[in-house]
Amino acid sequence: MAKNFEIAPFKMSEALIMGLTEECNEYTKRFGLVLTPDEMRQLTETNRQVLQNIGRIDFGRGAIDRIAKEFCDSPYISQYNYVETMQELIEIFYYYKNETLDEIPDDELIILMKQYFDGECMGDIELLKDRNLEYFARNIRYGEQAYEGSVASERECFKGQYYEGVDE
Amino acid sequence: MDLKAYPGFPEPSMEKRENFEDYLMAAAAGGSLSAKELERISQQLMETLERMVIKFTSYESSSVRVEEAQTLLRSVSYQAGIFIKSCRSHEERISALKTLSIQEICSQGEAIIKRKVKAAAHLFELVRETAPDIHTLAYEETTGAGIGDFFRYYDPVLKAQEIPGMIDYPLKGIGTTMTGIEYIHKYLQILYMENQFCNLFDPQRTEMLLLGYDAGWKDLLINQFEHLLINAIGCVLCEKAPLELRITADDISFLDRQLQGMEKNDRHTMLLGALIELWKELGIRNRQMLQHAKLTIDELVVRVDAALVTNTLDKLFGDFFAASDAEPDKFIDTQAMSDEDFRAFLNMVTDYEEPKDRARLIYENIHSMKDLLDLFQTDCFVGEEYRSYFRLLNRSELLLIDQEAGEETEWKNTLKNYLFGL
Repeated sequence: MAKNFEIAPFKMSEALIMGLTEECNEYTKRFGLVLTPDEMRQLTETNRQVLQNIGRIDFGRGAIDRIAKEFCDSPYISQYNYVETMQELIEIFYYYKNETLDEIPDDELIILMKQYFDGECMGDIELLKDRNLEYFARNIRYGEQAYEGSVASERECFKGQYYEGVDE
Repeated sequence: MDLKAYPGFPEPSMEKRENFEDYLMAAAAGGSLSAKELERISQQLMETLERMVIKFTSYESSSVRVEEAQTLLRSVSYQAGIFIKSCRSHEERISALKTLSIQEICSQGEAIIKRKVKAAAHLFELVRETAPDIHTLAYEETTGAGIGDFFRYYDPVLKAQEIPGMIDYPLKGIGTTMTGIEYIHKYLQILYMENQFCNLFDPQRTEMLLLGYDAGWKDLLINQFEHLLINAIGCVLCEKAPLELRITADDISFLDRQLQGMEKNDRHTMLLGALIELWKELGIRNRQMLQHAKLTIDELVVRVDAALVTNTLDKLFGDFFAASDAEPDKFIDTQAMSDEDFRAFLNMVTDYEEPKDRARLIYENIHSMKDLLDLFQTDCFVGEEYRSYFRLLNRSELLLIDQEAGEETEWKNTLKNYLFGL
């Protein structure tokens, strides 16, 4: 038992990794993206490390499958850069969960990341992290009214919630 | 973990420690729970925590910051702890831990917390109904917005161990280990008892007594019950009616003579006897209130001992009413003397042999803080002689000097000891 119930990130079991790989691949293979069990192991380790480094704890299966399923149809991701991009996206996802003070639900943040990534950032991870999401997080933190450089919002759920005052 | 903290080991006491985790560890160390059972409990705690996280994030996030997870875990642990504490014996507690799941334990704990919240809300009503006419600002704010906020924002599920609300009014006997609803419940119980006691006294006399203690008593973090109790005890010792509250200079001399020749233990017995006598005279039958008053008596014994040594019994049971007629304290710092005048004055001071004469001369002629501090640097008094001067000043003046004084010096240490004895 953890001494005095300290909370520490848990390590995924082999069965869970295999299950996650299978589930992810089943969805992403139609876009030509497949992860081997070794690569999934690598990603779960990244997920665990990132959580530990930024002081979060995930009680689900992490963000890997959700990010993979959202990003698999991106024109900027192909099999050759799939694992590296996923690693970066996992890190960005948890980093901005903290930076947005947990104000944004997981699914909405992933969708927003995808919108920026495919839109203004044109697949550039650095721009996604240091420009668009940074600006967005700052607006959330300081309660500023609008994010003027917003990509055309396709999803109604964002309208009026984070972009109040933006001229449509 | 220090198992010596658990009297009766290997039967850990849940009453002595508030912490559920510590209880589990001690129970495991004592052999009441096996490693396997402890592992199961730990796993179930994490499962309960997982459910809480989902609830906490409104099903929108699977991850939280570690600090938030720890707060939630403390809430789970608090709920479980409150249920375990409600069991009558160690065997009953262990049996509950072995047969019930942590989720069931937490649900029962949550139900107990909710019942306690209701009971505390009722006590809060009583406290408000019985609030003394005379009270400090801290009392007003604590029994107003402070505890009001607690009932408004307390979350028995996700943050059961927290105390939302500003609780400033100081009370004895509340301890530092209690948290959440347990703390508020206990706090209100004590406050209700103190209200009942304070209401026995005439509000005008109470106000005069507190005014005598300090002109700005309303803003101070003082406990009214304690002040009334000490003076009422003083009256009993002087064979006066306790409701009178007033203790004159003659009474002080009488008390000094009575207490001076006694052993420390005898003084304690005498003060406890006076407390019992006071309870009889006031017709109080509440034994819990008596137990609570004993805490003040225990502290009073130490203060009386110090006051007898420093000859400041008047500050403890002072004739507060006379002092209260005076204007509120105002300190006006006049211009410091010229160097020549200062030297001449210093020569005058040193001409007097008796410390009390020197003290009187300084008291009457020095009206500048700079001059006073310079004078103290010249060693116009030695060691305990400073007390002759301190005795001429009231508490506010002494505190002001303490505040203005710089580095640690002999006279500053004497002043600190003197203030401690007040």
